[in-house]
Amino acid sequence: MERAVFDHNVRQFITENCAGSPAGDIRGDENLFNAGLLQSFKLPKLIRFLGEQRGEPVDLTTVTMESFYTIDRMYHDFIAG
Amino acid sequence: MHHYLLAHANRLAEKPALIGVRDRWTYGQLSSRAEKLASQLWDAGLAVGDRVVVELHPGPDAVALLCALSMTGLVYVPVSPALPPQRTADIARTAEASLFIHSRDDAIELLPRDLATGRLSHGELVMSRTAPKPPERHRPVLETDLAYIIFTSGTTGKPKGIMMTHRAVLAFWRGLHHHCALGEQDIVGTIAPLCFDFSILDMGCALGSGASLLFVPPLLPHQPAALVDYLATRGVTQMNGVPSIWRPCLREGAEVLAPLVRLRSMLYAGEAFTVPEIVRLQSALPRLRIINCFGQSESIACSFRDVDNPIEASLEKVPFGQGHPGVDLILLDEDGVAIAEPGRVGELYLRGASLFSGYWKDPAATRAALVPDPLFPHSGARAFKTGDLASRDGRGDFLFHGRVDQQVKILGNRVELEEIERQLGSHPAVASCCVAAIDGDDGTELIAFITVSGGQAGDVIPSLRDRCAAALPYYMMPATFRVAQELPITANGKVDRRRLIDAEHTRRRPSHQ
Repeated sequence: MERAVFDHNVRQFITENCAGSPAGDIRGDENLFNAGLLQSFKLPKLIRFLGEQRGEPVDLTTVTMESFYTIDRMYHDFIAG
Repeated sequence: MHHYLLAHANRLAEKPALIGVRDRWTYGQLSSRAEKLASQLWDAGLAVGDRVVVELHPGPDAVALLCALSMTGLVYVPVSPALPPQRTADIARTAEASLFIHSRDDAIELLPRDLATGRLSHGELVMSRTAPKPPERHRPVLETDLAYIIFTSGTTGKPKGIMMTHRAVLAFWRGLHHHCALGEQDIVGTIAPLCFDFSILDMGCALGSGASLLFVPPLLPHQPAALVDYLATRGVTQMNGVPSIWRPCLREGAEVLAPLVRLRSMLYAGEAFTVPEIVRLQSALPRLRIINCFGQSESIACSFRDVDNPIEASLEKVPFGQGHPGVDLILLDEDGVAIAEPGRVGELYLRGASLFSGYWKDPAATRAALVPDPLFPHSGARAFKTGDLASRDGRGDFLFHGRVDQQVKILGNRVELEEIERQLGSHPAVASCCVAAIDGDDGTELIAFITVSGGQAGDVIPSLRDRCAAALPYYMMPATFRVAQELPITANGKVDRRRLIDAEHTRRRPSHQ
């Protein structure tokens, strides 16, 4: 998946699912949890969303919470790899 | 502690002791690697009683290191690699640590310059910064020496260090073994981070029985089918963890658990299963032994009880037993009089050898929690005033009724709401604040209610988030901030948290319809 498409989709996901916060101008390296755009209890939905983007469930056996902190890290750990 | 964890090392030298995602260590390997690390720790110039901060993810390396620290009389201070760097550095500074074993570099620059640092690499300690060697201080390691300090959320706004001696841990492990002894062929699944003392329970549970300890990736419970497959293909016979790890499975449909044909028991602690959840678990796995483990980090846990199978569906609460053999649980009323009759709620006190020895460098908090034994006040012995409210049922088992204070559990983690309030209240624009925990659609959520001075509400929330993110673990970050004109006050002059929670539920109600 192209990075630009992923960026668009993940921002849309955050806007729709995480307290309605607009996420259009968030940077790729910005910590989404610290910015209040994601909360830990939204993680299950985010994991399902990433699986849909990838076309198969993401592998959670070797990742930690840090993989979900930023859009850059999500793309690197789950989509590009 | 290492004598207990390695008790079976010679006899079972070739048997798997620790099973990670990528590696598998025998008891013999664990023992030899722990001895090698102990030798390196001695060479690093550390002395009995020195604190070593361990910032590692759970795994075989971490268990070997814990054994090595025990062998050398060093005090294990586990911290999560997911903590904000500033909080990690604060803990290292507060603990007056002599060595920091790290898995990332974020906190290094914030640490005191005289603190030695190192990493584990291929089972060896590689020092990245050494400190001046103190004079040799030879002394034996005693059971009454500290084994570890675990820092939890504290009401004063700073993490609180719970100090546990080797004797206390051993007393707990013996009580655990009495109720949950396993066979050498058992495989115990563990998922707790090292900073959660559930990990200490898991190590003692598996290695103390000569069983194998299998490390389960911490995020796997979010994929029920993957979790079940991971446990089933590795033959896990007992899975330990907070109820939250099973909830995605229960949401998806308990039948997803069906492949767990080798799973004989499940031990849970840290938070409560509801009776309907247990009914569904027992329906999916009818022969499963479910063990309710209850307690506080100040004694790791104090009681175990097998959940009735089948559980009575009309029960409101799941009983947690009458205390393991090493402790005595007492209920006292507000006047300090022991409660004997069933159904009456009082505060739970704990006596026994598994009690902590105090809060690190906090004598006032220690005095408030470790009080003269209420049954034998002149014996010199201390009892732990738990802050838990409980009653007894008709069989003498205890039932949990909440807390006397504002402590809540988020995903099994202990959270003092006052610590979050102190972070928020230290912001110059915040006039008053109150943090409440509510049950949301996706679990327990923290809501911060604030009033601001100067009417700068729009500007203050991002900086409050930054402040919390820099100082608190992610699970203590409020999900929602509400700015109010004023906070409701009770007749006693305190913020009326109950009214705020009710108002929040009312505010959310339309979205549920």
